[in-house]
Amino acid sequence: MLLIKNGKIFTATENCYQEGSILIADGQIVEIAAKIEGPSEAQIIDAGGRLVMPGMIDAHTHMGIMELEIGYAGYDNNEMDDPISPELRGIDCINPETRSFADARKTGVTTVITGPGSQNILGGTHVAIKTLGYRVDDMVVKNPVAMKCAFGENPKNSYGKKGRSPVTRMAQVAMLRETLIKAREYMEAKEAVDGDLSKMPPVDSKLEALIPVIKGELPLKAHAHRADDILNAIRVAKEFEVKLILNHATAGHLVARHIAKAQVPCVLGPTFTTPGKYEMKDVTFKTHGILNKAGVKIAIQTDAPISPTMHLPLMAAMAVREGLDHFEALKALTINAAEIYGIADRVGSLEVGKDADILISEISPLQYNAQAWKVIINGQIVHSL
Amino acid sequence: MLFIKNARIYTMAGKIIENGSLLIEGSKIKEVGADLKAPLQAEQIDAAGKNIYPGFIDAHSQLGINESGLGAEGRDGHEGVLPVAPHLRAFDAINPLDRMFQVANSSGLTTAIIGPTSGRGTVIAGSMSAIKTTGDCIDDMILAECVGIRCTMGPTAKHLALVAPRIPSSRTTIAALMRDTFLKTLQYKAVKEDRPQPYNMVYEAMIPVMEKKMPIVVHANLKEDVFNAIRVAKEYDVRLILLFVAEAHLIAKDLKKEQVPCLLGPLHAAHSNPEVRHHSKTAAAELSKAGASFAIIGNTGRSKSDAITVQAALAQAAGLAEIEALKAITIYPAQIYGIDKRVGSLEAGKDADLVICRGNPLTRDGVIEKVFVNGEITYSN
Repeated sequence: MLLIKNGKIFTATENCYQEGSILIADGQIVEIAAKIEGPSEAQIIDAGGRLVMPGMIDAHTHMGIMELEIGYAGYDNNEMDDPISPELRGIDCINPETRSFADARKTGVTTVITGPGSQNILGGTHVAIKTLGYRVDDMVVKNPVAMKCAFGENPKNSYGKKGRSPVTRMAQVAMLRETLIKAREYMEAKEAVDGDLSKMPPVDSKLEALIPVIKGELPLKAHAHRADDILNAIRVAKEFEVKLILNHATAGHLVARHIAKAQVPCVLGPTFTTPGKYEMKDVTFKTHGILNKAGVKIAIQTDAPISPTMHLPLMAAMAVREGLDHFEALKALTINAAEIYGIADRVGSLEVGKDADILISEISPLQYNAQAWKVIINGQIVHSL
Repeated sequence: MLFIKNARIYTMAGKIIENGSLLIEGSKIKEVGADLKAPLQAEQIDAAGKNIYPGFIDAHSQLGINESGLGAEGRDGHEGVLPVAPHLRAFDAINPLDRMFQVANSSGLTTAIIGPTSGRGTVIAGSMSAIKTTGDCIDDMILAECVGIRCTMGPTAKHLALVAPRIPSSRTTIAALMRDTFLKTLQYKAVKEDRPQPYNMVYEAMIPVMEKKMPIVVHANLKEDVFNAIRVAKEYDVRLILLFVAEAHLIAKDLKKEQVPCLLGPLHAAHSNPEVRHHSKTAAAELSKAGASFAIIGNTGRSKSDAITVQAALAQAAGLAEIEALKAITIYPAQIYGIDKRVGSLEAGKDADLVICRGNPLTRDGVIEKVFVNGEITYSN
């Protein structure tokens, strides 16, 4: 048992701090109160008035899948053979030993969303995992949490330059629509024979993988930087009545009212980066505040290891500098990400019954020199100053 | 409500109205005429000494689909690797934030027909949309989602057989691919009406063509390509619109006889390749004289985006009557594409898309003062 005392607690359920204590047992939060007299065997952490908040969630990464530090051997991010590759699963290629996870623990990032990249129109599933562990199966919070899809320059570059579709945005949307139509037909044919393999149409792994998307159980996570790519994603999602998460949404501030109207959440970032391609030219930290004020639910990502996961709080700090409300920034780092990916029953806020993933800050994450004092995952102290 | 008064109104539906007024309610024209009374609550604009025209229409534009100032990142008009791709949709690839939309709108262009573009390797390229020229979300700018299926016949669509041994590398294959697609669509449709079958996006997109609900819009410059297009279209009884038609002036009587509308231009282009070596600014005048149906295109987005009025002016300079030149960028393209219930003329019930101009917009000294789209001022000089 672990007892955190004298904390300035941000639970992420309300926009305020409260003085108090948190009691942890068996990896879960069992009590939050102004004063807790813990059992005598409990280990005590005296927070000394420091900020105590939920462990942060990096809402989009390729951690463990794209191991920059070892080059080709660790690059499992994009299968480059078929632009329609929904049957691939991020969980099948995660190396928990990659340095990003150690970086995450030191920073207070306790959960990450990780999975395939954006070279394919449909790239495979993303998974939510804790940043602690040596075997991915034990780290899973939820699998899958989203089906990756991509609009814009990446699929154009990857295939168009090789003389294959998609060369243009027209073909991107057409190929995605065609696949979703076929998945719907496949699902109906399968249901009509109660999944009896002997009577089913020929098994198609790609279409199988899309059934949860068609059913509205698994959101599409759409890589879209430019405003028109964002709106294309919204149009297709609406047509098929599938759930949608906008990933990057770099020009989201230009079409904030349309995103708000469609009620689509945005996973913003990596904003602390060079706009190395045209589709990122409108990159600004103002996007966060503008979308938040328009009523859009936002979370923040580093795209690690594209930009290091230890800069997740820095990105929130810079968004605050450019107009994002302080508490909204803290929510973007925690509960919003959890709600967007459907893992808020386990992580994202400090509430009784949830996983004890906690960051105690030496210096607030919303300062440039943010520093974690203690980081707790599943009730276990994984970082301590 | 907005009441514009004392103007000379070129309605493109009947006579020019001197000292006329026009009443806008919401996004529509409520009334046009000489003796209108301003409703009490209406805001008024005095347009004394000015001319009013319907918003101009570019019957073939590349706005936002082949974007300005960009390389491959912004080129989304030509897929190129699929010879038969009617299932591609232009509006999935149009970026309303391309600045050329504003440039075009400020020159009086209120509707653009935007489609996939011609190029090597593509015979059937995809669907074209009618788009209003202002907005930040393409879905809100669509006047008509699909007004035609864009095709290319002639040398432009050919691969150079020696460089890239892929189809089509000859005009025989181009025509054969069109026939093949028509025939397979007819079978797909027949089977579909009879029993369930796997969804095919290509043939689904072609069904409206075979039902004559949708025309094919065929890039054809040389006389022989024009006649090839007419032959293939007749064989399968599909509606045909011809595009560019650089040699139209040489076959004006045939075009009249066949009753195939032609989208002519851009008239300022160079004689830059064998397909357009005979092109002439007289094309519109010749078709008009022969009584054939035509419109003048600006190719905005690719050509200079403020060129639509200049294109009409060039046609006028080559012998086309002024009113015909104006109709060729307003009511004629609207009729050809079947969007004339909404746009193309100033009549009660139509969209309030209009241009207020000091002087004649087909001359250098004409100054466009205000442009309206859906009843809203989108440009003001």
